[in-house]
Amino acid sequence: MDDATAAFRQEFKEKLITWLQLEDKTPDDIKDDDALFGSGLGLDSLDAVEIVIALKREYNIPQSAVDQRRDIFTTFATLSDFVQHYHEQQH
Amino acid sequence: MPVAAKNLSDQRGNALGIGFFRVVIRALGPRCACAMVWFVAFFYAVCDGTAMRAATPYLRSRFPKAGAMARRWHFYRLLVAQGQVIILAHWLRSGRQVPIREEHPEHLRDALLDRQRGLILLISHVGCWQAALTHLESYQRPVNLLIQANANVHIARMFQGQHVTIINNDGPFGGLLDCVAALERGEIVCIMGDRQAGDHEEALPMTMLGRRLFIPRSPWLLAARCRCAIMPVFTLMRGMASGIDFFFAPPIAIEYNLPRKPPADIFTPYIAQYAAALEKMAVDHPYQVFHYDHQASTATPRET
Repeated sequence: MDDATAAFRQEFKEKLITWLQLEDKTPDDIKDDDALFGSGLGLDSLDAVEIVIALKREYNIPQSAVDQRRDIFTTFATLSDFVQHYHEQQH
Repeated sequence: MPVAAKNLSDQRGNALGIGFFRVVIRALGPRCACAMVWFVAFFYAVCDGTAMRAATPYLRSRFPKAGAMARRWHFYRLLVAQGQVIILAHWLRSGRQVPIREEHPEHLRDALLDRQRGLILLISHVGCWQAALTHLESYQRPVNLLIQANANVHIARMFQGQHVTIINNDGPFGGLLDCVAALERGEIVCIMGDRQAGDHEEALPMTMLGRRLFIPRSPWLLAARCRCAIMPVFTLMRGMASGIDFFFAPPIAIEYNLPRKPPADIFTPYIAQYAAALEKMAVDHPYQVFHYDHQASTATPRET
């Protein structure tokens, strides 16, 4: 993992904690390979809605882009990498 | 599957009985079939203890002074109305039409003026809700229906080939991302507002006729997050399947600028408006509110 990816993931963990108000979590508690839903971070479908809306608001990622890539919600890393790549393509 | 999560009406009737009614509807029309329901429902009113127990919480709250015999009579009337509503739904499904009256259609028209913005229609277990979906076609806006997975087969069959897109709640993220996508496209999303999609779904308490119900939180959060209107609609059967009355309640104005991950009680004032509209339906049309015990979520809902 290069430095840019590591830095982005760290920043994205902080954002995720803020968006979802995961008050009992710190960025260090979120492992890159943690499943977002179910057994991992324990997020639910309403959290998914919060994430999708936040991605649009903060990264200008349209719902349609997320809609075509539901697999990005598998782990923290898959979501973070998707956002990073999308963000880089736009700038 | 736990009994509480099953749809009680799916377990009633058998293939022979259903086939018989289909023949009667085709041959003699819905009014004749509706008349026969009075006889068939009498059998269920006397013998179906499970359904009676399921209906009792609603009947006790709607008819608090009724004794056991009177409550059994109200139960009978409830079963008759439900049977007749099913006949009406089948009649509509076969492509037939019945006279429709709309009350306050301007609420819906106004909400649909902005073509960029979607609309959440809160449907309820009141009257012939299936008719609402059929009728919405006339508003020329794509319609989506978020449904409980165990109702999928019946509902999907009912709307097969029509303009309604079925969104399953057992799909990824409970179908909510599909709802977001539809709302972003400016479409109508119909969500059953008075029933949790299983005990796992986050629920909000509301009081109807002094009885506590738990209703899904997702429509309210979706409306807030997608900045769209949310509007209750009720479809009541008139006479013996002779027509449908649509009641479009005023859109419920949600505060869009909510904090991230808003606390559940932030929706309480809006839910109270929905509860009031639902309660009015129960007062005015007591036999067309089909709130059986499994819909009241009296078990162990995940309250937020």
